[in-house]
Amino acid sequence: MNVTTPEVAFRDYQIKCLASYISADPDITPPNLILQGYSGTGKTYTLREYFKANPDLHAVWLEPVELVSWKPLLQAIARTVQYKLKVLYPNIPATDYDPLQVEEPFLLVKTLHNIFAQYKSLREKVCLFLILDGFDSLQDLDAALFNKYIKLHELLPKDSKVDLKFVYTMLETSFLQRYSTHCIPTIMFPRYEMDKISSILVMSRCGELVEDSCLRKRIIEEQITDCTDDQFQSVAANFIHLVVQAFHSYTGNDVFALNDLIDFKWPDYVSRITKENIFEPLTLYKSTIKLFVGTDDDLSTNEIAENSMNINGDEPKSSQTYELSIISKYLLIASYICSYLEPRYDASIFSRKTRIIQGRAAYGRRKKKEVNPRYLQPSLFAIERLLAIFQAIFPMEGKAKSGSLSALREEPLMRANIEVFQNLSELHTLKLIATTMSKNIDYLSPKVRWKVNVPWEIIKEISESVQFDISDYFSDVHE
Amino acid sequence: MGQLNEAKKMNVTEFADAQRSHYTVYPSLPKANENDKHIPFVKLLSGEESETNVEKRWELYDQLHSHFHDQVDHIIDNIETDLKTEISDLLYNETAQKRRCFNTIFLLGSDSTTKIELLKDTPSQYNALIELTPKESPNVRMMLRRSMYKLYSAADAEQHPTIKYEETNDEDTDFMEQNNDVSYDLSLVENFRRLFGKNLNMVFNFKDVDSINFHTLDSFIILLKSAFKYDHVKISLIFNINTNLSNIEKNLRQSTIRLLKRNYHKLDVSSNKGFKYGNQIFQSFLDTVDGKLNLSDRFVEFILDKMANNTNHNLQLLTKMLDYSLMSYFFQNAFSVFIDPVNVDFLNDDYLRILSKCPTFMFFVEGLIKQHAPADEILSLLTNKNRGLEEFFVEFLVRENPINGHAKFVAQFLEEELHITNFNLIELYHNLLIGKLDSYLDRWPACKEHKERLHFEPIDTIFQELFTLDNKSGLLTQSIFPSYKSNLEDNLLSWEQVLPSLDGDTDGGISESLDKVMAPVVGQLFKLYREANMTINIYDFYTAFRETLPKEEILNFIKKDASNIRLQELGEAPDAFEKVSLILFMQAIFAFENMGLIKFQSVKNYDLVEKCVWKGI
Repeated sequence: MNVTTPEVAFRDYQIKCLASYISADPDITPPNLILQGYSGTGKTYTLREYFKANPDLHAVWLEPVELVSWKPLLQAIARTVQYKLKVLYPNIPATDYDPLQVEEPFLLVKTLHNIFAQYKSLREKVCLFLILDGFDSLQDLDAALFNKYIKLHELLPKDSKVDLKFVYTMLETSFLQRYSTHCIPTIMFPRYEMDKISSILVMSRCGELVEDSCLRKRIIEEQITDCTDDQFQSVAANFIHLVVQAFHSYTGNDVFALNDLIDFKWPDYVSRITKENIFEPLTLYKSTIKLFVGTDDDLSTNEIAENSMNINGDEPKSSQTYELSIISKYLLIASYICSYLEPRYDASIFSRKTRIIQGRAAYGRRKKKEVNPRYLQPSLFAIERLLAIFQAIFPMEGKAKSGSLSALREEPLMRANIEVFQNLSELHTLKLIATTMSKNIDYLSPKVRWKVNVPWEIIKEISESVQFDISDYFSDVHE
Repeated sequence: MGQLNEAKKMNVTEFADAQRSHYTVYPSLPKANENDKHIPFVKLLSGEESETNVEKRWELYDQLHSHFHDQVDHIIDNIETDLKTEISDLLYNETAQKRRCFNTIFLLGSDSTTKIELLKDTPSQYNALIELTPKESPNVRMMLRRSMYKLYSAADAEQHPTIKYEETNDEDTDFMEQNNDVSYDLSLVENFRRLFGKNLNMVFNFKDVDSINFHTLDSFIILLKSAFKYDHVKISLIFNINTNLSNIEKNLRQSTIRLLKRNYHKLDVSSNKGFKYGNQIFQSFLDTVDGKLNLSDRFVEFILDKMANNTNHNLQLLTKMLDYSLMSYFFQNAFSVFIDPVNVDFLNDDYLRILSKCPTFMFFVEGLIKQHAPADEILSLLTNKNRGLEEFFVEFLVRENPINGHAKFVAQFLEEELHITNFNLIELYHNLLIGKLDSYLDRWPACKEHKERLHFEPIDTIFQELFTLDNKSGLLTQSIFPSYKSNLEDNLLSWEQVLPSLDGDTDGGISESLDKVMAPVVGQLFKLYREANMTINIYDFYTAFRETLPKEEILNFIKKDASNIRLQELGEAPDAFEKVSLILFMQAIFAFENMGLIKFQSVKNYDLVEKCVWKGI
């Protein structure tokens, strides 16, 4: 065993395992090796460090996620293996095989046969490690595919001087468990714990944050001169600790998410640094506390700020540029009601004349369902019902005084004119309302059934924007 | 043989035609005589208007209309160029480039027709625009292959301009066979520098993002992410969104959102953004009619209302409404000819009679009486003695309209001195008309200091109702936004309004007496339909219908018509009336079904029909 083991924080055991499985001697190296661990557990990093520390081990890296499906993956294997061998042994003449010919697994075997046959003149056997990084992130993954790979070594010539060894990294244990009977050596990468995460982030990010241009600018602006590099480091480290502590419950041990949050919040954090508080983490924290209250990792942050400004200015209308029109909103609300309220309640809920129907049907005892209808599929309805409910809920404010002559001219109810249908078809193209048929729809045909395609949360948002209390209508039915 | 084939073909199309459930019929318009210019305007003043005046009216309208449209076209052209520069500014803003992340642009309210203009390629950099439609993006594999194919063929065509690439059908997935040396995956991006010797700047334009499967899109973005490994690659993503950002946000993974958030811009491309272009169009309309026409507050309010109801095609709608109002004004108002004061020569008694009944004029005269003005002065105004009224009218013709001027002034003041651009000129104009400009301007605190300068008191000018665009008869509401189902109902009920009147020409003779007592069959049935319950027993419906038919007249009619022998035979039968009424009933019922007024409850049971129209919907 003549391998060197690099230092990787918190991964000593895994490095040791790698060292025992991956070596230059093909006879003691297993043909397949699996590294399992969820995203952000350091599989790739550890593996890279390991191969960096052992330059005499030859590795070919492939990322199945880039290759999308199995065929390009096969082709990429043929291509990269051929290329790597050429680079390794430029003195040996080799004919080029077209990797694009590899369209089936057996063709890959054939091509590899041909390629390896050219290197028979090598004095001793060599290992070529083929690393498939993130094998289970292939788009069209199926159960049979992995079997083909783990058995591939059995099909390759035994006497070949080049010995192809596979190393897979995987995210899901459930995928791995299907192949447990094959007894492939597996190295597990457990998730980091919170304190480990913090120290990893401090190690990897501190230098970068200190080098960041926004910090430099701020230092010059605030004329902070009496500050050593170590002190800057501690400011950055402190910031990282704060981020981890504040958002750990949101991100879990996801290094990437924390990294993103660090990136988003660092410029804002830096902009609060002053000459006074740079040495006092507590005051700095107090002045930046807003940063740690919310994640702000959505796209509409700026928008919310704009909106709140508008509310102050008593002018919500001016920002409604690409929103739905009022008619559309009410149509959507009406269609939600249609989909989630039973038609037999319609008369009692929407009719202005109460007790058209006698008996229980009139007041409609509304029993709470066993399953909240919100969890179910929206039910289908006819367009006439939608329009009727739309008419019932659409507010028509008469401008004329009641009793005056001009009040007679105003229509008491919303009429479905061309605008309503325009808005309806707009909603349909936006896929907020769906129909049963998708092609060549005659919108007005009674045979077409409609349904709402919007969840409760959005409907609630929409109805709040027009001051319509939709939850009233569902008070007895939903929770 | 060929002829035979053709004949067969004809039959097939005819057969297909016969199978259609509905037809679209375009009435053939009477051909305009090319020698004399056909004017679609009719003579007004109960037909007393002179030929020349009609012509003049038409010319004036034509002039204003084309002037207005020239300007609108100009404005709309500008929108395109404005947008293009804005997008390429964002795309190539080098200072905003951050390390290893996408340069993302969200085009909000976009209809995906925006063309993206790329910079010219430099020797060191190749710019590629890759457009992906939802149809081209069924899954990640196809998205990747299509985009890489587009990239390769574009770059290769540039390098070897002689090789022509055949237009490959999008459905055809076998790109491979054409170019055997390239595989269409990210390795192309990886090796781009080696192949073409240039850096690569890719711009992905995702069209109609809302229709792309979000899971696929998400995976594709993650896939593209791995191209950041290569230093020579820059990737920009443009998303054409026609819903809103939160919809995108809800559907993509949070980690992807974070990735996009690192460097993103939002651009509202719906042309109603910030009222800018709407204001420009309205302004150009005001300029067009300035000194000639006024706009009534009702009309402006109507425009505002309708624009609020339509979010997508606001500018088109605005232009359409202004257009229509202008047209209808010239069509119906005989006085429109005097917009060009030269035409005053044509002023005659027919006009003056109406003129003296103008409310504003009468109000003015009333004022004169109250002020004890000399009696013969008033009389000369009222009776046009010594051309008194005529001169008075001419005097008012050339009066400037202060409202338009002030609106222009306020708009300019807001924009140039206070740098406020988010005002709606139409809303401002409306408030100006109803005298509430002050409260409208209160929205911007900066206006408070200039209140005195901006203040305006609306005034009535005499004869203004003759030169005002209005929507008082609801003409605009009805023609641009018809509520067609209630129109249909109204017409079925009072069919006399829409069918040619019977009093005028009586040519047929035979059916005349029948027409007088009986409505068209559908109308007749509709009266019953209105009174029925939700579900109608079809036999009851039929009996009721039969009872309402005028039996005698129908039988007479059948017997009288000598041209149709079959009908005569039918008339002989003892149950002739039952048969005829059943035929009519069937006719009407199926017409109703086609109109969407009723539906049969199920395929098997024809006993009941269900109404599917609520009153007035």
